[in-house]
Amino acid sequence: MNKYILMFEYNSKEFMDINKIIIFKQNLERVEKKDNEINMVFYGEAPNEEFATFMSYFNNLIQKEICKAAISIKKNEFILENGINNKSIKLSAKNAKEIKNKQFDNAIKEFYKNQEVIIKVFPTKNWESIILDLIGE
Amino acid sequence: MPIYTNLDELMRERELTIATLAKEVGISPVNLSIIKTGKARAIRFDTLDALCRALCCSPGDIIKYKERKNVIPFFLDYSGTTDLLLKGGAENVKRFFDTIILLQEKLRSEVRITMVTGSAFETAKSKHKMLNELAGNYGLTNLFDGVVAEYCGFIIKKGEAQRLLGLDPRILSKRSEIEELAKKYCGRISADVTSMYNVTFESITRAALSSFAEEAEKIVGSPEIEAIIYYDDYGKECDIKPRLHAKSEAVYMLVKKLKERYSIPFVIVGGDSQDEDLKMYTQNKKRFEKMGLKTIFIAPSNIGEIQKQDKDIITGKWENLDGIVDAIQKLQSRINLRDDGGFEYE
Repeated sequence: MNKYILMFEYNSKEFMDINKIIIFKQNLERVEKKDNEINMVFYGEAPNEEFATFMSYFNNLIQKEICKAAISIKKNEFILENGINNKSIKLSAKNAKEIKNKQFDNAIKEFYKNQEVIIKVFPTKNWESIILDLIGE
Repeated sequence: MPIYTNLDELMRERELTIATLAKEVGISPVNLSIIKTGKARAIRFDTLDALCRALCCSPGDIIKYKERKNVIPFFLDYSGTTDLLLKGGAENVKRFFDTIILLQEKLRSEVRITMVTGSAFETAKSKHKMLNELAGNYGLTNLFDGVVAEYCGFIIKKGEAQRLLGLDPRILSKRSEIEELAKKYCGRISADVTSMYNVTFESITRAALSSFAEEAEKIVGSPEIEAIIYYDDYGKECDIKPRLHAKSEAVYMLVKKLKERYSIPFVIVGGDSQDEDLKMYTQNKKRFEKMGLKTIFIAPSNIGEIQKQDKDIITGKWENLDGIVDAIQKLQSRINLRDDGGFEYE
């Protein structure tokens, strides 16, 4: 089984879209059927409370714990999905420097320690369908 | 009527009282008040002339025309309802939006939901943003009108101060100041409001000493209120007057504001708690009746005896979003739009 971590730049307007979420759910099922596990990590400059709320809403709408963390580029922190409660972990200085340049590999690997993960940074545009790229559709 | 007078604002800008202006214009304060509140059926040209002179303005500044949109304010308690709204996933939220669209179409009105939440201010703001994006992307741009953040301040009660003050790092620098106030008033104050609306703790203290609710509303100010702060039952231990129920007062204040701008056929109050949310309804029902408004409470199905006595309580199964959809559909079937634009309730 492949475990993918899909990185998206945070944009609440783009992702809080019922119709797109419904399409995404269908696409997600197709990807998961081919023995893939998907996690999403959002990065951006929103306040921690907003990230926490967004993740909670997004997971509820998808009805899956697909998003376990977000990265605050502003505060150099991982914000953990924890209901709407705000919990965060500081990034190491090295990882904080890297994420400024949108290099997430080390930060993500640190977060998903001991797990084999494939990290993909995707554009926000067509986010609901882009995961089909993972299965070549 | 779509024609109304703007005297309120003009007088406020010029800091004129009814008595002063009435004297200048040469009419009685009672008659001026009738014009001001839009109850006059006509206005004489010489009165208009005198008003223009006194206020240094043109007739168009005094008499305004605005097509009055029907707006249905819907106050929805949020603490448990957030989960309810989302529990069934995106498909259920879609159903909820579709039900709202049908209600709007049938009543040729715009539903405006104000979430009443116990979350801290930043979280309340974020929740509102998410819901606004969801509804906006679905074409319901004005659906989530605002949030009443009941706890937008910090509840500072004996023994709880430490825990609650630790919630937000921004507040730590103000800790001693807050603790002093907390000791003094043993109530709630809002740090967020102080930074957002550029007011000082002193002004909040002053407000607490006089009429907190009214002052808080002045501080928050604009008609598109995002947050409002009140004392509520947590003020039980304080000596602050008035001891108001936060949610009820917020709902009342907001409806008053909306009524100035829109035609409101009725108000919906919804919630999942029999105590707090029912208070929002019962405490306001009579007040709204005096304003010519009907209030409908959308309640959990197990509301018991109260429901039998009050036909304006509509219940749905409140375990998930279907319950809200169910109750709104019941409401929709009971209300009809008359040919003259009014509403009738079955």
